[in-house]
Amino acid sequence: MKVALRHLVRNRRRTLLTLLAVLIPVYFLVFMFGFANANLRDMFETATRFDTGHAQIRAVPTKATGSAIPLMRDPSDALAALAEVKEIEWWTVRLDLPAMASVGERSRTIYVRGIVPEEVDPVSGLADRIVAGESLATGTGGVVVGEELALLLKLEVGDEIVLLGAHPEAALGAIRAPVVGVYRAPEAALGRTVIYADLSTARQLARSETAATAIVLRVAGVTGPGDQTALDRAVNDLRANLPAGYEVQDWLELVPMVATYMGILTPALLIVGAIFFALGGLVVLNTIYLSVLERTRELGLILALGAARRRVVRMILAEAGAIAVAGAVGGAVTGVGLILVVEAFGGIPLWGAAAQMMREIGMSPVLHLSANFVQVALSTASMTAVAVLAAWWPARRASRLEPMEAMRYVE
Amino acid sequence: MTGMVRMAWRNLWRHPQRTLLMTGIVAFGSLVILILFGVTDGFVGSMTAAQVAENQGSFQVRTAAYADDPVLENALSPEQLTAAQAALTGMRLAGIAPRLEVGAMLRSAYGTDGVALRGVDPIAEKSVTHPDEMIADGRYLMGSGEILLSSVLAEELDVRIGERIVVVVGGSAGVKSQAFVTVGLFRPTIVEMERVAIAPLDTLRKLTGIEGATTLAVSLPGGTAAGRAVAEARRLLAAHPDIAVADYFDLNPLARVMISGSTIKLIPFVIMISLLAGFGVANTTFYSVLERTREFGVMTAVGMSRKTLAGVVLLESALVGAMGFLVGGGIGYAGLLYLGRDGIDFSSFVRDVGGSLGMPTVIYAATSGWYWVAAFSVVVFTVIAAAWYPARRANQLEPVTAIREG
Amino acid sequence: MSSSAVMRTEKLQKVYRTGATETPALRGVDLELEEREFTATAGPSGSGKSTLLHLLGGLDRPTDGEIYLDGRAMSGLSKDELARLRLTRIGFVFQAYNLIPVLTVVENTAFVLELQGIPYRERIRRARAILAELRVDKYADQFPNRLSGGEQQRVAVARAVVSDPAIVLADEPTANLDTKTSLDLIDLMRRMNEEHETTFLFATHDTRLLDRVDRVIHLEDGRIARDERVR
Ligand SMILES: Nc1ncnc2c1ncn2[C@@H]1O[C@H](COP(=O)(O)OP(=O)(O)OP(=O)(O)O)[C@@H](O)[C@H]1O
Ligand SMILES: [Mg+2]
Repeated sequence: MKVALRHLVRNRRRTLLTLLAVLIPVYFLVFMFGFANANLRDMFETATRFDTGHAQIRAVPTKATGSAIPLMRDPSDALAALAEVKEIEWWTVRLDLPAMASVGERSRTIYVRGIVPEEVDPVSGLADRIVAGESLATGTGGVVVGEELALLLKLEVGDEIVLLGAHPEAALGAIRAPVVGVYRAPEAALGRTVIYADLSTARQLARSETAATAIVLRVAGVTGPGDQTALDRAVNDLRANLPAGYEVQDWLELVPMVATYMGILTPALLIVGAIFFALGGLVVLNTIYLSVLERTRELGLILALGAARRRVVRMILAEAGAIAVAGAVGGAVTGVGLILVVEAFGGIPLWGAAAQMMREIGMSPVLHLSANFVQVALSTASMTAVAVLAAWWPARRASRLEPMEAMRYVE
Repeated sequence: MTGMVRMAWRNLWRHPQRTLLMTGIVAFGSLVILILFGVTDGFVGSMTAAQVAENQGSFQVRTAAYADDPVLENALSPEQLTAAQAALTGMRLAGIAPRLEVGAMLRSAYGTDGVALRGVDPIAEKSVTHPDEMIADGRYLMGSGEILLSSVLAEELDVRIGERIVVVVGGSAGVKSQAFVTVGLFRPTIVEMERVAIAPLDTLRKLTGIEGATTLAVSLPGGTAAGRAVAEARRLLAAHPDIAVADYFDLNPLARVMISGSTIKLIPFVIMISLLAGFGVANTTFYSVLERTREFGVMTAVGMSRKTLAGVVLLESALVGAMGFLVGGGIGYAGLLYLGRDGIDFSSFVRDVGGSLGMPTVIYAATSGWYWVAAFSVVVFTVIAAAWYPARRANQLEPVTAIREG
Repeated sequence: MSSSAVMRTEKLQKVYRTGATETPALRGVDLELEEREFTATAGPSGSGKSTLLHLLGGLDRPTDGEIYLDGRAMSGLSKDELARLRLTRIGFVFQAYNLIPVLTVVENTAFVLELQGIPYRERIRRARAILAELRVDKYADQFPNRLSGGEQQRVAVARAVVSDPAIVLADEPTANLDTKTSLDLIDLMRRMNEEHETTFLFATHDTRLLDRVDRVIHLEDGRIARDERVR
């Protein structure tokens, strides 16, 4: 070991370059994982707080309904069953109706989302997203529209909007409602298509006192996309308790985009990681090979003096190991360090068209980073392993030297 | 100079394994960069091509107001439509078709869906976006009161060929509805088109009470440069300030961000890969220069200038770079050819995330383009950066020391 | 001062500095080498023979004093001008490893001509002619590592004289050779000296070679101890 270290010091420049070749892949991977983690967390927060909840109870569809969610005539039996599942810490009843919204001569197909404002507000922060007018209050009969829709329909707070309910399983209702507020959705598509109304207002549109399309719920102890097992357990308990005709879908089923994103992200990161590891490995292989070549005479002498071949292999692997560990740990430290620094400054804000695009696909226009210990440890360990493996071939080559041959070696 | 090249070349093969390793590093680096750029470029190209061919045509003529506020009131009047068509007669076009596009609700016996309803001139549209060729079931439009649905819509609404479907639109005379007969189902490759229904222009004109068209879609003959054609159309329509020409980027404002975004995202990759490959080459080159100190001393002693010496060192790594690029480029080209022919099926991803951005479901990699230049300049940069220090050392060599130390 | 002097030095001094210690290697050498002279410099190890040759060849610069080649002072020349001078006016032969391993014997010989920009055919023709004179033409297309030490040194001599320099400097060219090969090499150098009218100066330890030269300069402790004309 001491000999290995001395060799590394002897060729300081080369050791440094190799160190960097090990450091960069780890650093890069840690950083990219950091982006991906924060991205996923962002998606989780947006989806579960604003849109889907952790899971929803819905009616089992009996026939095609277009893009409408099947109607539950009266969800009270489901609510009773829900109350018995102790992991569920929060729930609310919601009615989503496809509808045609018209203002003057302009009209759009949209969804009316009937909610119980005082239940929803503390979780979704809808009230905090109001950019004009005021938020929804129970029993006032007004509606809140997204910024994008307000623009398309040339709407202002105080205008009246005509809503024509079109749920295929409900009776056709029409109402005229005042717009009390405009909200900014986390995702442009939501802002273009979702109009919030008080649950009772929405029920007028479906001409029913009790109708709903979903019971939105949150599970205790689920705080991020990594808590899927806790969520699954709660969902299973709930399924066991529910009467027939209901099903439970968790947020990943409700926002398949996130599931797909996760499905693509992992292999993509692995491919990128493999590319960088392979390059780093090649550079280590190259360096160790050079250092073996350079010491051919010396190694020959060691062998001639009677050292076991295994010892030579171990000596060279130790050399590679020292570089690998130092480089990989250095990469992890700089990667995590950079993440911490970026986060200390509150993330990387995007502007202009890029920010608009992030909003279009429902992501925060401020890029965040978050380090995950397991990923960092795995990246570090695998790069170390790749580097040591790469040293294997030159090490074996060294141990196969014929001592006399090696000592005569010039150049 | 040929002698120097020969010398550099032979120097490389004094240690074949070492040189092969270096070549491998450069080849791997350029391969990765080529594939990355090829797939990204192909992605953008496929996206544009699919949008143009299936959805939008090469460019569109609309009223100036329609871009900001796409409602029926901002449609082209019949006079504007005639004027625009007359103005463009001088251009070589593959097709030109008026469209009346309006948001509508479809109601079947079972379900409801919001769609973009597109009223087309059944004959003229065939030469712009060829909807007749996308028909998967049933037939193309022949008479008024008929409608084409995407197969996804038909499934959601549980509508079969020959069945009636109610279309609800809001027009100048309030909300109106009319029953249409489903005559055909089409299967698009871009997800955006799955939420489109196509009906005859005259039927929609009657339904909405709008006599003109919201847009005039234009397609260009193969091989025409879209940019130049748009510029020409703008010039021909300059006399009509109320009429505007919208090119691909006007119609897809986010596409530009996506294109530059996906290219910019590659830059850190390229830098990291260049660095890594550079380290590999630099290590070896430096070592081989050290090893030949005495030899270099003799060469300077017999009168070789140190610049020439540094040149030989640079030449050696340049040869390695060239070989690496040839190998990496060859494999990369084959890979891209394969990906370009068979495509990468992204349909599940695109369906969930990309629909609103107009991404196609199958992406064909591009096999030629500026990224070849990019990859090559990366190789050149890598090699020069890696050989810089060794070459400088060769350049600073003191002949006496070199000979004495030998 | 004869006008036929190819090389002349005035009060040539060289002091090596390594850290705080100073090693004077040459302490004022005044020397004149006539055209066509075949001269040896001898002296104990460390007397400054190599240092003198390196200075004369423009490989290193003196601490003090001046060197004139063809009557022109060398101290004013830049490194590149010195390289140019070595290329055209000075030939070198070292103790060993003279040849470039990746070039064949004929390519090695023609290397200097190539650097001078002489066309391929012409330089190969001249290189082969010289190799023939030195009786190593049969190895022309082999790589140097296939040749014996004596043959390698003969190729080195060929390379040194092929460009018709004013002077050839050889630092212990025979040190790695056996006696017979050494004498052979000196005889060949002598023939080159006579046939090409090239001035030769070589350093040696070997006293048996000294009766084959015109003149012997004995160095001791960085000074000329004795300068004798043998013939
Ligand atoms: N680079 C150097 N740094 C310091 N001292 C040096 C250096 N080169 C030579 N010397 C010293 O200068 C003196 C003259 O050395 P030089 O090599 O010229 O002697 P030499 O006559 O050629 O000896 P030899 O017969 O052993 O080759 C010696 O004392 C030597 O130690
Ligand atoms: Mg000496």
